[in-house]
Amino acid sequence: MKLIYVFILLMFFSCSEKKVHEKCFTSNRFALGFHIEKFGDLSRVDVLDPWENATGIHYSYWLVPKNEEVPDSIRSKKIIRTPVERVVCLSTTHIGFLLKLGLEDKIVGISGKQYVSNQKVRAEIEAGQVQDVGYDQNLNYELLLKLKPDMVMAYGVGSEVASYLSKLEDLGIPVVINAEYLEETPLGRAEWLKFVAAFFNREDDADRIFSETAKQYLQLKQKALQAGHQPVVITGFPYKDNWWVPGGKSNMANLIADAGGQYLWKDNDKRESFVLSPENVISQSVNADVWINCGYVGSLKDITDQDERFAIIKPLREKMVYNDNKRMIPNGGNDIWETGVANPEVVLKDLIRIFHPEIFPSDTLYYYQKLPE
Amino acid sequence: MSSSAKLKNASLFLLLFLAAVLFFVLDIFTGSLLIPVKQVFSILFGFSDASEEIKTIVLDFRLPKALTAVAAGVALSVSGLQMQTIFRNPLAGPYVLGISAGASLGVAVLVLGFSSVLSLSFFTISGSWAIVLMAWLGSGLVMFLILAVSIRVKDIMTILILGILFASAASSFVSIMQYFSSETMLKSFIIWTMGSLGSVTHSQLKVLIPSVLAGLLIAFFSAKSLDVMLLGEQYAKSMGLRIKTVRMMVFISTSILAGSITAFCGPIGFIGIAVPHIARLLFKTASHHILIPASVLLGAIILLISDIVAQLPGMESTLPINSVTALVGIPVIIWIILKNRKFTSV
Amino acid sequence: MENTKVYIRLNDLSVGYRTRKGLKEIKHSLNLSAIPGELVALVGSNGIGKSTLLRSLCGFQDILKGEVCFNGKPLNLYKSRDLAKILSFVSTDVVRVQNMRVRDLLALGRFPYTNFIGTLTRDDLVIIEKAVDLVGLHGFEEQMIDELSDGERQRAMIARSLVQNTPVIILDEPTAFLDIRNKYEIVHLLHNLARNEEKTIVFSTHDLNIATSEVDKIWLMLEDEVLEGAPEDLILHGYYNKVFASENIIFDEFSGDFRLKKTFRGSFSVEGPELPKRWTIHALARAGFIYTDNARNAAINVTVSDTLKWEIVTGTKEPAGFTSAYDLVQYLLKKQMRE
Repeated sequence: MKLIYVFILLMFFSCSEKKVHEKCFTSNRFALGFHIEKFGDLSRVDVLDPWENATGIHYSYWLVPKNEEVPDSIRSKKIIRTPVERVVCLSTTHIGFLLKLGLEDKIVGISGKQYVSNQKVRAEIEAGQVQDVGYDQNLNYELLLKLKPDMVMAYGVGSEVASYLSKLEDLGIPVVINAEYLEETPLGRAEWLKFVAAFFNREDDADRIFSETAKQYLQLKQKALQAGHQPVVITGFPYKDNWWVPGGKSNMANLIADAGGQYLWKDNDKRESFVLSPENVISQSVNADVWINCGYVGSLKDITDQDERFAIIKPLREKMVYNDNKRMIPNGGNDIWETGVANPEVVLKDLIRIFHPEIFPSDTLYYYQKLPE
Repeated sequence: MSSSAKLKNASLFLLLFLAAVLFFVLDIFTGSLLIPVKQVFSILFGFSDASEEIKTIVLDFRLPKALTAVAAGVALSVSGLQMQTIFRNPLAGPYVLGISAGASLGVAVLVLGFSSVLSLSFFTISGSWAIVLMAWLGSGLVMFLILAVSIRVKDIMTILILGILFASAASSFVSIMQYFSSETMLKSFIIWTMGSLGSVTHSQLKVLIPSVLAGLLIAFFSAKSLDVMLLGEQYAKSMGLRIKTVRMMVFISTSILAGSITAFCGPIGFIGIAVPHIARLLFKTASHHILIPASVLLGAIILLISDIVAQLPGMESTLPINSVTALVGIPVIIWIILKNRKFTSV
Repeated sequence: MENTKVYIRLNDLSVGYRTRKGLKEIKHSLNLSAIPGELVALVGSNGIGKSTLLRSLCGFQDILKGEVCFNGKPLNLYKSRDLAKILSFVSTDVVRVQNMRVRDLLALGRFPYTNFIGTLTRDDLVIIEKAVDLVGLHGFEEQMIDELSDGERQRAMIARSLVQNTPVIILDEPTAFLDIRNKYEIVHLLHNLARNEEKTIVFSTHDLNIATSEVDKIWLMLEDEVLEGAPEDLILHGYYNKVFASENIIFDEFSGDFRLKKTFRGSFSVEGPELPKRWTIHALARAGFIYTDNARNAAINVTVSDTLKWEIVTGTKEPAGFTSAYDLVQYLLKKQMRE
């Protein structure tokens, strides 16, 4: 009998020592850029290679519940106290994830208020409940300090982001990098919902929501596969002599493929965008059927105003040009960047509508619009 | 001039002209797409059965680009020559009075400034002409300031310093705007500053070419005065030259020539400084009646060569023209400085 | 239009420049003239305002008061083209232009006369030929101007001015950087041009010696005024002494040179043939002894023979004689020091 009490006591002791053991993985189905390991009440979230061309770099964040002590063994690491109540999002995509989880009221700061699409958040910004903390080199550190967020969710295009990350950490502001945009697949990106949810103790909701998302996405993909013919798709818009297009292994290329389209440059083996000369694109587009994502234009005339020579491009001649700016706000924010990542099935459906109009004849496009003349 | 010298000059001019024609044709052949020579010729002369896309590439992309290269080479070289004479400084160039900085300011206001304040559709309302107009406005503003100053200021060095200061002021404003702009705007602007020959369309050429011709005409009429200016302003005045009038003509010609090119193509450097020196080297004369046509031909040749190189023949992308002109121009300038150790003036 | 004769007149002229605080006069109330066929030298010490005056004369600088008249017509009434046919200028600066041949430089001088392309007519070429001859640069036509020697270059610049074919030529320190031989050659050339071509030529120099011996008229620029006259007139009126405004420099009106003032060592007289006598006086004056005609008043009496033997003639015992002026002077100096 006494042995049992001793045993229980021993267990208490071992628990109170807060040694970290008992790992359980959260496994991702599509996302490669992060993984979450649970150690009892604690979690460790790793973000891998969080910016372009990073190799072998990873950030680990330890999620410690607010009502528990931080174990000695991890005291020197990056620690986020959970659940997060006050978050600053440096990208509108992060807002999209929070909206999906119903956590938009946790947002206290955003970066670039002109880019926010969601009406409710915009209203809160106008009312002063959500602050604009600036972006890149113009981060308003003083405002950030004043806001006292539990977490700043950041993203970085290049390694320079490390410098202002460490600056934030010096100021005692917890920062995490959200590298969803580096995922090559739309579902991989969407799965970062789980990453975001971890900080708010909503992993279960995220699992449920994402499963549904993935299910719908895959069903749509299946439908598209059955369509038979695959239209040839070109994207982008040149500036001066440079026509940048997504790489063959990029998120966009995968979306097109999943929607049953044939991306003209699908044979490119990189994720990163690459540049072509306009002359090159024109000659290659003799067989193109559809042109999507053509920049800041609202009509075919806008395109030819920019450069009258583009009138010859086949999709333009055939009036098969679709731009993803249906939900774009005049001064720069576009909803597809905000909610499109968390809702890839909506984007996919739009593309399927465009490539195979016979499949969903009665639905209207959500993020995309057909460019009028 | 002795007749042997005249003959030598004439044959040199003929050679240069042929070289220019050669490189013009080569430039049309070069591009990321390999179009057979025969097909190019047949398209150029109007009797081809090639697809619409190929025809568009040759007639609407490559031909205007080659013409733009010629226009740019001509305009920048002749304006550089005039600047070197007026300022009696061998390192002067077309941008020494701030034309490029002014144009950058105009474009920056449009691309970095307005787009965020006004609706982005302003950008597309006037399309490609918006940038041209803003660049012209910017460089015109700086030019206007320079002309206003040069009426009241006697010393040419003062004008030079003021020009440099105006340019610096314009650049500072641009820097401020860059600091507050987003990635996409910034990238657009930076790409503009790298220069581009390929985005000038036929309808734009209809404006560009007459402008360049106008600027050239003024330069040619100033040739005799420029010769006298070589001796210095005191001698020029004593020979009856009205210094302020000559300066004004030269500044106007330069602003038309360099301003137009910068408006349509963005800033293109080094050509204006290097080519006049090559002309002097080849023809061994200080007479502007020879140097101006020489600069015209040499400028065209060098810019055509630069464009050919920039195409990285066979590769899918192109280099920005400014990098190539720098790579071509800088060694030329260094070589000329070293070769000529008595290098004190033009 | 070409080959007219031009009279220059400066009436009550004030020259200087404008500063923010107002006018700064360098020289005022100048009344000077120059006539055709005359070579005038503007002489004065450095920094006294010669260039300012010449620049004002040519119209490079504004006149503050008074008039500069060419044949009675004030300077400011001339259009620049017409003025260029009346007046040409040669500056002291070295013109550095690359790739310019002498021939090209000279051709520029026809600027006021040629059409907008600058074609040279047969007459133009004749004028150029003549100018080349006048300055003695025949054979140099194809040479680059930055390969010429200083003297040759200056002559080329003068030739350019001749090509401009003006009745008036103004030159600012044309001999400044030249050696003695070139200095004399240039001045000689200018004098010939004035005389033979009936040009009115004014040049500035700080070399009073050359001016004194070669020119027809001097405009002598002193601190407070500018006087004009033949060199001898100015000497005889004692103005040369004022040129350097220094107490240590005196002008010996008799010998015609400037000398530093010396410590007074005593008076002397000399007897002998004209030339040796003259130079004995020079030697002893140089050493600080004062010459007097009156043998009885002199402390030292010297005789010199035409075989160049000197003797000191006094009552007391003196050494036999000297065979050089050098020895003479040395002896007298030592003697004087002993006393």
